[in-house]
Amino acid sequence: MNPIIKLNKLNKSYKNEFIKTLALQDIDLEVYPGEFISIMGPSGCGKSTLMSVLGLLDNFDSGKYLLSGLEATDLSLDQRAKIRNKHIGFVFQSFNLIDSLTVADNIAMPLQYQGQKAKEIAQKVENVLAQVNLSSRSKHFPAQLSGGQQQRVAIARAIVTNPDILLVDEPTGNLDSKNGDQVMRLLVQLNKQGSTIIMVTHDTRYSQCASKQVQLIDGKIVMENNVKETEVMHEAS
Amino acid sequence: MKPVNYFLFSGLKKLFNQKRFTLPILLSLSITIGLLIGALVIANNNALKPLSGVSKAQNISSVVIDLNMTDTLSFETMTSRADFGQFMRHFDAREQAFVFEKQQSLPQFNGESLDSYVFKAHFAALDIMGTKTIKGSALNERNFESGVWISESLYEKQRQAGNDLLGKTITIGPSAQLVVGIIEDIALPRKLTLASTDTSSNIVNLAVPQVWIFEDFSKIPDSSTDGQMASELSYLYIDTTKVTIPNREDFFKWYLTTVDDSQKMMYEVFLKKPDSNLELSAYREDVMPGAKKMSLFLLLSASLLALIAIVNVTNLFNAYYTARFNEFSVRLIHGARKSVLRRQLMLENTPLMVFSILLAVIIANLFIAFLPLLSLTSLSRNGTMEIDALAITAIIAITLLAFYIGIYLSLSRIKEKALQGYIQSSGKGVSMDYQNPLTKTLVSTQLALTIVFSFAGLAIAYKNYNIAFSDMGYQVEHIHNLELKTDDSDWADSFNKEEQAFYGSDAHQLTSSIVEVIEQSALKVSVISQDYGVLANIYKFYTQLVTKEDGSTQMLSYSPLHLQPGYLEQAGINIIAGKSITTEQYQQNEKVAVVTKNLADAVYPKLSYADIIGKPVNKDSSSIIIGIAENFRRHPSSMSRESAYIFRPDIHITDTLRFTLKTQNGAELNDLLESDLLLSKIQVRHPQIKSLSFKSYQDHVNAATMQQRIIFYTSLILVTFTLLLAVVGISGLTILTTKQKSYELAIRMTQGATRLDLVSLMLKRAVIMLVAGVAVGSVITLWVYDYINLNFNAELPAFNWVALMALILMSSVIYLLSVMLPTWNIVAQNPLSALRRD
Repeated sequence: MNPIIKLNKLNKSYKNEFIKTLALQDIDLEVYPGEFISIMGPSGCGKSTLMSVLGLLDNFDSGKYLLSGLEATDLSLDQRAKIRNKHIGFVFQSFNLIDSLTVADNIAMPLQYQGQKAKEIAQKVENVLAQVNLSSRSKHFPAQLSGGQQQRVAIARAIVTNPDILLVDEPTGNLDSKNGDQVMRLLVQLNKQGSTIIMVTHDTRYSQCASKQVQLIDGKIVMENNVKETEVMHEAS
Repeated sequence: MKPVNYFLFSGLKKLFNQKRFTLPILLSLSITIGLLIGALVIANNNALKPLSGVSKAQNISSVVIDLNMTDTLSFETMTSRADFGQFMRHFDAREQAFVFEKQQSLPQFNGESLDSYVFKAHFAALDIMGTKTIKGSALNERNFESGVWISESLYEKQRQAGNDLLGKTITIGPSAQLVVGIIEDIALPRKLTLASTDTSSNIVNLAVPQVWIFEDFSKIPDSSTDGQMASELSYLYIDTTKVTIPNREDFFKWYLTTVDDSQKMMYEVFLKKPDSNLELSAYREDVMPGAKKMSLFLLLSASLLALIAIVNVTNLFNAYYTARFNEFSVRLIHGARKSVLRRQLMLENTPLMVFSILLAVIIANLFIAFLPLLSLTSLSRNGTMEIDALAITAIIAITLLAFYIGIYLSLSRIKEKALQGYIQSSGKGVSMDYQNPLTKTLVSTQLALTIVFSFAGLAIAYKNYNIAFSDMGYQVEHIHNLELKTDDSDWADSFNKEEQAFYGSDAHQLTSSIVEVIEQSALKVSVISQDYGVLANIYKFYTQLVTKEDGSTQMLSYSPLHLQPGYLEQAGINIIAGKSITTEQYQQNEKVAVVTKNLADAVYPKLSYADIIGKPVNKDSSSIIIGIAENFRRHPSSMSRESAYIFRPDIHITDTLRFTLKTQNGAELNDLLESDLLLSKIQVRHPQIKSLSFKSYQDHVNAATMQQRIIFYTSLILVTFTLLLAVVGISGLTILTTKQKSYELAIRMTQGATRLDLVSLMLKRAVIMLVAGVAVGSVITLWVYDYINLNFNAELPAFNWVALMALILMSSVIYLLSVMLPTWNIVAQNPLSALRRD
């Protein structure tokens, strides 16, 4: 089986007027279909940078990045956008929903950029809303939802295009434990259904939900572990 | 830090750190408020500020009969001395009417010339005008012949030179006059003050230094033979609160009784025409012709511009403060009221307001200084015209108002009952959305105003361009009028012998002798006509019943001009059939004429121009037409008034001899003539000649088109500013909102939106407002155009749909580019960085 993502000797640095910071050094990583990978590490170790590069939100200085067989070097902004739209779903810590759009419109957005017809979009939106148990909230605005609900909407938006991979950045960071558990259960469920997930988290409990743990320190991968499947926290009543 | 200090300091920082917000506001407001205040100052000077020495100007009007003699010719009457006497007696207006008359003689004191002018006026003038006596005797009915009165400026100037003229004797011509009183400087009708133009400053002083002689004009007999001396006489002025003019018909009936028997028939015909008018014109209009109209135009234009700017500014405030709704909500939650927030925001904007005010003052000063340059000739100014304390107060008030409106409307969008919504956002603040009603209304309003204003401005510019710059039908550059005056009318009249042909006559010898002196004195000057040419400040006309080719008769008016070999060619008058007079024909005094096209059409409507050559000027005339010239305009503003002309090789000598000169390219007449030297050379041969003056055609045209040129240039500048404001406003708004939107744009990009998708999104929202603005703007333009034409007699060109479509297209392109380009710029800078966490 071929990996969905393959990083080979990937390097990324940030330069300002005074210093050059090596954010990622010689990263080698392979992600296979159906894997659930958690990335952990202390603050400033390069987790977010790695997610940005994986999500084609940022460039890298050297090395190779293959995504679903596509060479991701020297891509233009528009090319990246198209690849993201087709292959990648994003879930952010701060949800990043558009406040002026309803829940349904937020979820429909990536489908609109694919040029799909309104009827098809509506159907798909309805399906994913059911998947995340928010069918009754389709006409609400993000400001009218709780944090947990907003994050579930974000997850719905991320999976509506059926992407090859989900990039999940601290999904429970802004949530209480009850909502956090709910979100993690959803992610686990999605993974069981076949979604490939790469998740950044500080929370060791949630990192146990993953099938593989990757440890980053100072921009380098220092550890890769396969994790036994563990049970998620009990469902809240 | 205290709130006051916090907000002031914050505002000072924002001034330099948030140029996307502050720069468009600074530019929009300071330029338009500067222009508005400049226009207000000019309007106040022109239309409102009391005229020096004429405190009752609002009561005074001139009385003129405007005879429309033909479709192409009109003539103003009631300007002769006899007219004044008759009017005053008939209407018992001896103490309610007056007239001025400029004298030729210049005053002297102790052999030294007093740098001033002498005017004669009806004795009631000062009382009717409300002129104050500063010193000495006040003028009244009993003492008006006891001496002369002089104006304050003349008195002060002489006093500083050590001459207290009150009670002293000055000489005016051959007579000695006692100075019995000092009065205010009087703002005089423009045509009497033209000689005082200070060309270095391009400003005409309305109140020149004056010496006043008074007489009782009501005693001028009916049979006075003084002809019309239009340039020396003002119109008849009346106190309209005390003299009731009867209706038009009765007035004309009376006027006919005053006309000489030989001209009665002609006047009767013209007075009966429905479009002959009795005109009452305000004194102020004679002093500053067209000033009121121009002031109104400037004021309206600047006001509209300021309105567009305020819309701009409100839009920008709305965009800027929407991004701070989170902050305002927190403040409101913690006990602030909206009124407190508004005060705090006004405080925060104080540094920006101060800069706007300073810049507006500078721009207002520049506008006032710049306006006379547009005129190319003398611009009347009623005393000082400057940005005074009142003007600065107005600038401050309007600036404060503009800022307050922007802040008020922006904060009005915060719903205090739903503050939670503003703070429960996704964490990156609420970005400005084009969808909110205030933005939609403001953007559409701005577009509508831009279209209305641009269209009206362009129509006005077009109309005035046609008057000011279009072809007169003859050459204007390098051509000049020269006038030589004598005070010996008998000598002048001695050259006019009945039935004597011109060439070789005494008259011809006189003019040729003077031509010889002129051409010998100035080698680069040639005299192309021994009389006045197509453009002069004299205008003779004849009206006679002519018999046309088909035997019918028509009352025809035409002007005679002198024809000599080479004149028409040198004057740039196009001959469309036949030819001009040859030297041989001129020397043999052949009775030939060149007529203008309109006269040929009138007399021979059915013949071609080639067939008209060789025909008599009309059935009753002995002159044969040898050429037909293209029509031309005598006066730049007379677009449709193309008078008929007959060029004939004869001259009638009067006490003013006139010559038309042409200089070679680049030669300046001032330098070439050295008029004092030339006059003395002429006087060697003809000592009866007393004075010399000259004026270029260009000066004539500039003076006649001053108002049109100012309006043309100002219209174009204002239209440009309007479009510039639109660009500044829309692009400023787009930059501000797109920058705020970069977070949303980043999210969309993570979901797969390309840069084109993002630009299309912004454009789609903008197009909706464009359509609304264009629709409203077009409707208002149509309505305003009709309204102005109907109610202000603006004589605008016919409504041009093509022009409107072109303007809409141009505005739309400007608007869409103002949206697209900033959006593309921001999108190209990779808004994804907004998502990057530190």
